[in-house]
Amino acid sequence: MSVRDFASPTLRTLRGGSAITNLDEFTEEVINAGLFFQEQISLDNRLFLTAGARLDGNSAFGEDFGLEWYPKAGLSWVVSDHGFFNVPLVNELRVRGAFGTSGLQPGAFDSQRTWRPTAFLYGPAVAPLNQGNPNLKPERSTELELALEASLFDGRLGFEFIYFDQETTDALLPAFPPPSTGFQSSQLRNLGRITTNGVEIATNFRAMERSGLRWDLNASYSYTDQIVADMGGVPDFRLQTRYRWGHIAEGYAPGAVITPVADPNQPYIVTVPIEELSSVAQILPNTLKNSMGGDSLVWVGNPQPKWTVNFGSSLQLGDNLSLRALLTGGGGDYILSYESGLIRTATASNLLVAEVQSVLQDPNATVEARRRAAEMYGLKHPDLTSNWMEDGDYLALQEVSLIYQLPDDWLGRLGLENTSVSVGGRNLHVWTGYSGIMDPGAAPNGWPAQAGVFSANIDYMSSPSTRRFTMSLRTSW
Amino acid sequence: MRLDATHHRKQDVSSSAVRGLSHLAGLVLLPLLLGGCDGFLDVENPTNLLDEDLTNPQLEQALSNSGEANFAGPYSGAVATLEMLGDQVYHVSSQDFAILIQQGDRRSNNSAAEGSYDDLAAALAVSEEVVERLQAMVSNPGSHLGIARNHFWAGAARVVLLSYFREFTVRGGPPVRPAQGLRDAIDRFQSAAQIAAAAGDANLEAGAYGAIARAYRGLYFETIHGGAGADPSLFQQAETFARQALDTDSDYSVELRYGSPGAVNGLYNTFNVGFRHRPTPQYFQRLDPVSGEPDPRFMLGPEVAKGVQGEPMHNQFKWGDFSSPLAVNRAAEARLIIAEARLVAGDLDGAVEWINRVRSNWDLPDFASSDTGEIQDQIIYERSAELWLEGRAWEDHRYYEIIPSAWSDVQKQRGVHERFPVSVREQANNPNY
Repeated sequence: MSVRDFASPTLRTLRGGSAITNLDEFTEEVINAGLFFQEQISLDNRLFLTAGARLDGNSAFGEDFGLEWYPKAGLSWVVSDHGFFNVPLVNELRVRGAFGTSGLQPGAFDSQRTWRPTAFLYGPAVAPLNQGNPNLKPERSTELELALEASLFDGRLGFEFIYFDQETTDALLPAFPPPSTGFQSSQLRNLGRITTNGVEIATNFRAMERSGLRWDLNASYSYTDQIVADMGGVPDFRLQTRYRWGHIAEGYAPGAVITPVADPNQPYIVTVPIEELSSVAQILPNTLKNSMGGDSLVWVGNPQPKWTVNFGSSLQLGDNLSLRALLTGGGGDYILSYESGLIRTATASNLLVAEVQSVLQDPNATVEARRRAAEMYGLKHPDLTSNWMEDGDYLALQEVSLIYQLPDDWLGRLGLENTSVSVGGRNLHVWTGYSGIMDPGAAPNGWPAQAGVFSANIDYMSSPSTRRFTMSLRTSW
Repeated sequence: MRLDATHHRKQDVSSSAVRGLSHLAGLVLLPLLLGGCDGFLDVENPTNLLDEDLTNPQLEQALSNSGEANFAGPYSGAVATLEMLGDQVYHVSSQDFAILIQQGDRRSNNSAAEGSYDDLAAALAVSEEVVERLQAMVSNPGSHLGIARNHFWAGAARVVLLSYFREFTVRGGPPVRPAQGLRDAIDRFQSAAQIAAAAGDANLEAGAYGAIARAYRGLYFETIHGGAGADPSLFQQAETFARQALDTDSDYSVELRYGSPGAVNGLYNTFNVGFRHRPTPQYFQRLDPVSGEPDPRFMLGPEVAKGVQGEPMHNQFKWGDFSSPLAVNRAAEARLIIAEARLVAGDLDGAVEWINRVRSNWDLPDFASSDTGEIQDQIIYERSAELWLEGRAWEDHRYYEIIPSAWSDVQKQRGVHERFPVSVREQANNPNY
């Protein structure tokens, strides 16, 4: 509920308003029925076989779709337990593989064309809500995973390698219908096929172990390549509008930013003769054009990181003192620094705006100086998304902590045990070339939820991660 | 990315015949249960309406209201914002969309223009669908006021879309250009008039005739500016329908209704509540060219603030509050269309007579002239005063090729005939683009 027309500015609750402007109540009924079956068999505790299946029914499925089967199978083989295995320094070796299917169901009424009752002072009315898609099917993913795990040097070095290959058919993705249909909310539709493959590598290493000193290191790396392999007859489409140019397009990553770009030879146009320029509002972006005279759409980057890394260190000194650190990183994505664009539009105190304005408003500025100022602004014009796309690579010192475990006999007489004191810091530093507001790798605030992960690269109404320092005392009794 | 493949090294799992049989029974029985019970997965939607719900006769009233309910907000929003193209309102904020409109920039990527297109085109689709649904639902489609009203809003949505946009689409279809769009609008208004007559609603019937007159006037100018030359028969049609409107109801006014809950009058909301938009000073400083006195049709209050350059800012009082109904077509416009038609036909005395019929409603002294240019100027003035803040200023700038004074030089050079493109969202998702 929202209200307006308060009798006094001191009234700040709903009952203080004299006119109700909006009321809302929402009820949703979903039926999801399923059966899960799994059987596990082991042979000599060296070979493990798992097989199972899931049967799902959901009220959200389109009319023409009934129950969905999701089978899966896995095999795990401890090679090192066999007598023939005799590889020096390798204590344990296991290979495993798994194949499985899974599904993602659409929302309760996504398949149906729906209308919402709307408020109208002179009687009831209805308004379009959801365009509906009677052919909506659950998304189905099939994944093959192959992995190798090894333990070496009496367990001091652990290693895991995973390769995965996933194919998603009938991928559920939101798309906007043409507004002239009456329906303006995004509508889920099924795409043909999205392929995802990649590797994950993880290792841990005990670098040092002496009396009273132990130092463990771990590192991991993952690389993911995701492509819309087949649109399934659906034309390429744009996920958002205006300054947001995420696309679902065949041959590109989901959400790929495909957008007009500035003409490098002439990145601006002006609404007044250049010698009369007096305001940045008179400078407009000029884009590369296609043969039809429209904007050329150019792939600029992907919205999600292709790779991530983690480095961890844990140093144990004696029985009581430990020092831990964690670095995380990622990259291969591009971030839309939309917030920065808005700031440049909205405030004259911005350095670029101030610099350009100072030239334009200087009566003695030459035409050449005005042209250079216009070019400077044209290359960073807030109206052109591609001007605000930046590489999202980063490495972050996410956490450092020092923990001291108090000997139990110190506080045992008070009945306290497992007592520790710690000092630490989180989000301590980010190494990145990104110049916007949010921290790369951190989930931004404020992007439209319906656009989901494909908008995770939009820096809009976001804030950087808060640097935190903590001191803590933990105990139990 | 990992599946939950089981690989516990020392797990000792054995299968038993009993458990296997129970799994088998489950596997067989549940699909039978799920698949065998027809409607097992059917659910109710108590919050919203499904498409098939709209065939329920209990929704007849809601459907009848829906065209207006969906059109009212976008219409007043467009009139408040996109009319900044013409010399009628002034904008003092730093919002780029408003600055660009006021400077005459008619490119895409303008949030206000794009939002207006989306909302107006969506409202048009609602009215079209409501007409179809009501025709299938009611036993008296030839005299059903709900159908008549939605025909009217479907026509009005077309006309207002063509005021600001170079084309539009209907329900995801191909682009409709101005000449065809206006003829389609005329068809809808004729249906509205016919049904309203059968239902005994003289105001709506007259309003529909008046709307047809406006559309024919638009066709006349579109034809000229399209390069085909003047076709006086189009203005004759406009005059015929304007006279028919006044014969039916000499004081008709078809209005969109506002009030909470529901859309509020966007003109009041824009020009009186915030401090971002105010009528352009030239309007509240303008004097009636006949009397030399302030024209009472520019209803402005006292100064409420200063603009960025120290100019006085005033509230308007033509639309008194959030729930003031907003006239879409009314009798005064029909009179001015007749005056204009008389001028096109060379009947100068007739043109002056019809101008003065409008002025007499405000006790303004009669205008007198036998000069074609003076009469045309007076008609343009009368329209700007009489239809002030009613969404006609930009249209008249375009028809009479009057370059708005607030435009930048580049836009002035581009001329007045360019309109906004359809929204990016429409272009990106409509397969006809």
